[in-house]
Amino acid sequence: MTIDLSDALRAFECLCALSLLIQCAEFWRLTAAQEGAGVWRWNIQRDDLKNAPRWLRGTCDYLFRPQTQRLHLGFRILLAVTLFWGSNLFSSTILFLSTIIVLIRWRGTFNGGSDFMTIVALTGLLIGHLASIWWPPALAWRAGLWYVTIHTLTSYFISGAIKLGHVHWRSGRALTVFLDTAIYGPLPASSLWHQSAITRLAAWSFILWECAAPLVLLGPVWAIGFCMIAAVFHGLVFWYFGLNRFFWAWAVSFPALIFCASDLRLAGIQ
Amino acid sequence: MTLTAALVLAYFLAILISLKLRRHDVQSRHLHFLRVFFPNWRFYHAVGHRPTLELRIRDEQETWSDWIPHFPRAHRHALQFIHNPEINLQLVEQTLIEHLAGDLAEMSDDEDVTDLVSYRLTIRLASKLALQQVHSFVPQPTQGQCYQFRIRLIHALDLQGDNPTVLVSPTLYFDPDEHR
Repeated sequence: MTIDLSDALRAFECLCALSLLIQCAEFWRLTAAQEGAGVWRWNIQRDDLKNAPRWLRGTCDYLFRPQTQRLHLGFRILLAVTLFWGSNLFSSTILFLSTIIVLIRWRGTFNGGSDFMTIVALTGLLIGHLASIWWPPALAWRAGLWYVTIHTLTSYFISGAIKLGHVHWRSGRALTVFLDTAIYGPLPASSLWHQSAITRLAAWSFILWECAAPLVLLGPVWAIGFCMIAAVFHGLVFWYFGLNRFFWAWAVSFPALIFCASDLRLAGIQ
Repeated sequence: MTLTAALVLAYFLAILISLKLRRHDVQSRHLHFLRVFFPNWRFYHAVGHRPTLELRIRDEQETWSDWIPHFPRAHRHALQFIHNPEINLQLVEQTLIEHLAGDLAEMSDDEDVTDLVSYRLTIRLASKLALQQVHSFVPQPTQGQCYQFRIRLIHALDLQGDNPTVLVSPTLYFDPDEHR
């Protein structure tokens, strides 16, 4: 079982489009929080740039005017839609820069991990297009998808390894605490997540699965299995923590994971 | 084992070693805008002190309410899977409180808290939340009603223990034109 480069790339671009559109729609709704009576007023935030060159402050003042912001988000939506028909150097570059601009407006990040993964995916697209200028396209796109894969596997592996080092995760206690203080909390007294045997089992399942991320590279069957578990994992993260963007941002990388697992197997590892 | 497999193995071993040797995170408010280029992949990693915004409101009789902690809370709906602006906004507001706590820890003696962007944004957040609380009793805050907020580092496993207060705001008055 393998996936060829063109299929992987198509799936990657379509999932990237979907993830970006979901983010854009939410940013559009949240423009009210940045205008008038909202909390996130630019006339306060611009002091973050008080030591920046004047031209940069002027550019940001222009970019973050409400009308310009809406135009920017509208253009971003259009570019994201074009990814369904395939990316090009122009759309990838603009979407990459535009993501940075949107995040600057939210003081660097809006939704943590999902912002990181969005930047990783767009960087993968950029690598593919830029490298295609000098290298054969197949090699350039392999580089782009490998970049995404390495970052994705690193994200799971580090997350698992860090949890493994914490006593409260190993005992399962951390899971109860985080679920209790999460957006849909507090947990009802009768919740199963108060039972230490269940939380310990769940915590160890997550830790071992995350630490096993490098095994994805053993072959495409491993990668497909890993991605299916990942989808369930991110679904649970949404269900309990409300982090819908995490699901979509990581799903973008699944075609890259499966392709790279096929790629390595072809190189002789199985 | 091919060279590629050896490289992959070496990469993940290097990550493990770097996690073991890591002494501190890079945390600087001057790097705020570039945070997205420094992913740390530490999600819900440790149970510790969580910066929490607490509010109290003074009524016309000049009686202060108790301090009320603010936790982001929402009702779950399946459609939030594809469109979830309100919850993501609440989460970014909690991140703001964490940034303020980080800025306070990093602040030097000759700096003024009112110069911090995170502090000024938190005032707006506190004003919004205080108004929401007042609106649950009366349509509009009356003249003389005011509020105050503080930031406490609350440990989830030791709610009654040593949970230090790192900032107490001055008394703040409702702006009738704010959040309208």
